[in-house]
Amino acid sequence: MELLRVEDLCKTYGRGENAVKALDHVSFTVEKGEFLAIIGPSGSGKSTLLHILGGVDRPTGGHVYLDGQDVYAQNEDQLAIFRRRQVGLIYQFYNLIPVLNVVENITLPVLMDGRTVNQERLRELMETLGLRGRERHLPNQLSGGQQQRVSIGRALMNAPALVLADEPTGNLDSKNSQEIVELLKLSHRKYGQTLIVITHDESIALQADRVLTIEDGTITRDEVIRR
Amino acid sequence: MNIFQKVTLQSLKKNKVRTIVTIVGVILSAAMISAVTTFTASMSNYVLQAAIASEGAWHGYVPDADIETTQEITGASEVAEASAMRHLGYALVDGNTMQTCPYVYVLSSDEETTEMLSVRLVGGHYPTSGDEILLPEHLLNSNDNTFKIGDTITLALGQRMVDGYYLTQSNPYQEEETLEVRETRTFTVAGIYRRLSDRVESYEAPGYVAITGPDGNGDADSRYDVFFTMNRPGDIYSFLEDHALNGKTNDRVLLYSGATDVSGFESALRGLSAIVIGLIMFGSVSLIYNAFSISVSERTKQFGLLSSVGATRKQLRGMVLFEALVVSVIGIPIGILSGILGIGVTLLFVGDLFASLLTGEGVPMTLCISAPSILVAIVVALVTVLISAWIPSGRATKVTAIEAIRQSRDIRPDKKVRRSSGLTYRLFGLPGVLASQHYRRSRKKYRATIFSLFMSIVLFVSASAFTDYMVTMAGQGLDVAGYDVSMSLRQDGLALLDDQQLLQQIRDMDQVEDVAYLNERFLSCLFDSQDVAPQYAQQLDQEGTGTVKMLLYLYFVDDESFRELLQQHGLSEAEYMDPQHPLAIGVDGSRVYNAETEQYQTVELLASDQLEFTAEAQRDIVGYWSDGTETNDAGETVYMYRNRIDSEQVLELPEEEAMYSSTIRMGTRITDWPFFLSKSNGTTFLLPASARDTVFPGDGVVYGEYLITAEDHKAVVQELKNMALAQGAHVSPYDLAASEESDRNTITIIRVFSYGFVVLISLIAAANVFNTITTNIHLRRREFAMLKSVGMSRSGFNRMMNYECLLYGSRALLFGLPASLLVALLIHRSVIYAFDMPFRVPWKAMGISALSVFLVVFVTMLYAMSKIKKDDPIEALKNENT
Repeated sequence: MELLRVEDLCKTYGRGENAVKALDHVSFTVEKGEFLAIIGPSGSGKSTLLHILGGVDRPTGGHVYLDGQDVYAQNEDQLAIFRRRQVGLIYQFYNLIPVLNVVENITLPVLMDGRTVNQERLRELMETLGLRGRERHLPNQLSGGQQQRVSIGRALMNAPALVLADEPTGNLDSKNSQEIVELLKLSHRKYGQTLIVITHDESIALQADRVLTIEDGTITRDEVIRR
Repeated sequence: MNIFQKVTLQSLKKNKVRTIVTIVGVILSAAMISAVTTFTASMSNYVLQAAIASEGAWHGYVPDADIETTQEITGASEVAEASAMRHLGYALVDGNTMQTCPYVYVLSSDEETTEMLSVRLVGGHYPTSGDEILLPEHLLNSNDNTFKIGDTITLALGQRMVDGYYLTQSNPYQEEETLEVRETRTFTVAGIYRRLSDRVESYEAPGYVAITGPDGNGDADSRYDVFFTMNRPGDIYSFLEDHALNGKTNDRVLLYSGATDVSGFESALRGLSAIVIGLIMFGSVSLIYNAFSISVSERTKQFGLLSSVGATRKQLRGMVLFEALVVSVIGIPIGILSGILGIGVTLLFVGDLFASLLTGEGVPMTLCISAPSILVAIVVALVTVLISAWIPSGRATKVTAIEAIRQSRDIRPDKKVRRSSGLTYRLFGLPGVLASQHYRRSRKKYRATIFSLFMSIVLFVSASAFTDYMVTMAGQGLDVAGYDVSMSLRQDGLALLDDQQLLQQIRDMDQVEDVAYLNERFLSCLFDSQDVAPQYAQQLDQEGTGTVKMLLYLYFVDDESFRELLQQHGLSEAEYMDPQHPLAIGVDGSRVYNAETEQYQTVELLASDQLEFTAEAQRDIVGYWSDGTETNDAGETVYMYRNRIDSEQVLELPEEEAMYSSTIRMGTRITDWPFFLSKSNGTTFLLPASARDTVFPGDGVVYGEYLITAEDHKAVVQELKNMALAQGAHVSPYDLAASEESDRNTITIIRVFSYGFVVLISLIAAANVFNTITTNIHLRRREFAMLKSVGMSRSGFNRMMNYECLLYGSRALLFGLPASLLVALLIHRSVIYAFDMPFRVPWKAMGISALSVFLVVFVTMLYAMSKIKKDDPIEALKNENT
């Protein structure tokens, strides 16, 4: 069943002579529960694509449908709520709020919604992420791997349909990298989530169900690795 | 507490220095606002207290009320306090010389009433029973009989009657009235009190009000004077009307109690405070706005993160406003308390200076804290903070999530390619070029710093200029004369007072140290050019006639004073006071304001110590005033004199009769001024009064002036009034000493408040500059680390920072100095309506502000850099993402 449909997506930065086409008529679909890896050289438009899929950046053309809903037909506030409930974003540099502790960072999307935290889910997440005993730590008291696990926790807390990760291991050593990938795969299987990962690391890409290659803003290859 | 509030609080805690500076800004601005509102409240209270001191606290006064009316007023629900003085009656006193006021009018009163009437003792104590009595000061002064405290006085009390009707205080004395004596009582004089306000005892009243203590209850026929205050002062008018009472209202007190429409004074006071509050708000908004704007841009990334995980704009805006609220909750109460404290302490020191300012009642200005003044301060301060936070909060929410994550909005390259000048490169090297590029690229951030520096320069210079003008204005005419009190007397045939007798009376007064009596004549003098100081001779005798014509004063001084002056200077009485050939004393070296040099200077007009000149003056005729000249039918110029009583009656004198011409010989020239002359009068000649007939035969004395020195000048003024009053005349002596004292107090008060204002505004500006510069540098840590990592030396850094300081300072001065000059010019333009003086460029204030600007900028820069210098470049470079 199709979860995500991208149609004719365009993104141009600058104007006139200085215009740079980051995305040039990109179209593809993603099935529910699929693990998709996006690879490509620096500046190929990977991150732009991911940000647009996550409702963070607006495209200059084209449409993104999630569960049949046109994401960019929404206004800013609706879009914010979309980001809060429907997607989980994981960045290379974790992007945690430095003044909040681990639990607060993880539960941030729920708290912003003004809902009460599902303690059971939180406990389960903390367990899965191996963060037990670190609940009250601030981000700067954690290692890089631990910080990335907190940001994964934040992305998964609301059980979003779509999890987007932008080079989640780019800042980590190989041992930590493998652990993070295992975690992502685990949650992908456990919660049946759709996972899109941007990576430079071929070994990570090869663990995905399908690999998209982007060059100069267009999809140059779309390979299914396993089904 | 929701998650946004928590993030805000944590961020505030994390950026302690900036939070503290922001709170300090809020404290400063709240302090200034509350200082202004508290001062306004204190000022209003002060004028009210001054009015109460002179008029009494009562709102309404119903004279001559019967017992029913008295009870009606006392029992009315609208009335707050009421007290009644029972009439004991009129009595004649021995030795009373006042024709129109032959009686004492005795009222029985309790303590409450004396308080409500502001009865002020000159000596003694308040009467405690009906056997004791208070006498008014003016009774003693205008009476041949001298009562002393402790004396007993026997009074035959009764009612004044005419044609079977009784008369009250509002009926002036009539020849045909009689006094029906009812009882004779003996009182002990308990004390002397100062005359009541004329609203209670009018000048036409036939009886001096004397007050006894509580004297039992009256009977059914007793009459009362009822004084009362209202719960709501404004109700007094309708109360009198509704109860059909023939009463008086205490208008001055009611005015300042806010009972009537806002008075001119009150609205001027409010207008002025509104302007000052406006200025403060403007200054503080720019500071607090800056603080929030920095906070917002520093947290752009935080907002972006929150936005990317789904925070709405409203939530982000709420965060900024919550931050404003937190800062307000801490800053505003402290600020308001310190503002009140500041005014309290200030008034503790200068409050007494107000005592002589508005009224002669000696009411000092004290701190008055009123609920509305605090409320206004809170609201204004809160609005200031919220305005300051609202604008940047809008900017925070306009940043899209992706922009925030990338932090791409802060520095946007200009479309134009800008080049730093070669001069910058030569003077400051590459670091200078970098600094100027940085300045150009992120103009907006710098604008805040430069704007606050600009504001403080303008405020500082204009406040200084304003103070300067006010002080000059208030200081006008200080220390020009040696006398304390002057009193002029028109001697035109209608006067009731004999000038020579009055002179003797004044001389005999205990408090008077010295007195002189002068008759002035304004002369047109013709001097030989060589007798006049060359610079003036040249100026005045441009045609080279060898003579100089000038208008100068001649005073005829009473003989005794003239004799004293001769003795002081070792001059011969026989020579100078020779009735046939008197010699004049020339007093030279007057103080003149020179508009070109803007200073007072001493002008010595005469070049010779002895000289002779021709003087012309117009004749004075007793009973007439001079009304210029006209040309009669024969084509001759005639001098018109009009009768003072019947102005239709006109005398026309030909020139030879109207004008005197006389030769005056000056025997000596002195430059130390006798006490009775004002130095601002210009060069003056003195002759003894006895020589008048020789110099101007047959001239009428129409105008004279008494000049008095006395330690207790106020007592002398009062005594002069009483003395004149006793002779049925009215005089208004001028208390020069008191007015100089009040001028000096005004100067002190102006200085204290305007410098206080300037200091606070400067503090706000300094906090502002500190805030923006430190934060800007903090935000550039990465840039500095990068420069360090590519090998910029410490001295290179210093050069870069120095160049930036210069940029800030010079920009601020470039705009600030011309703008402040403009404001100073505007102030000058509004001041010259009241007092003509030349425009002065406020060099001193401008110099001080220029120095301070650079000082503040450099010190802040040094502080910020010392924090940065400890940075490890690698750490700082990595720092971006934590």
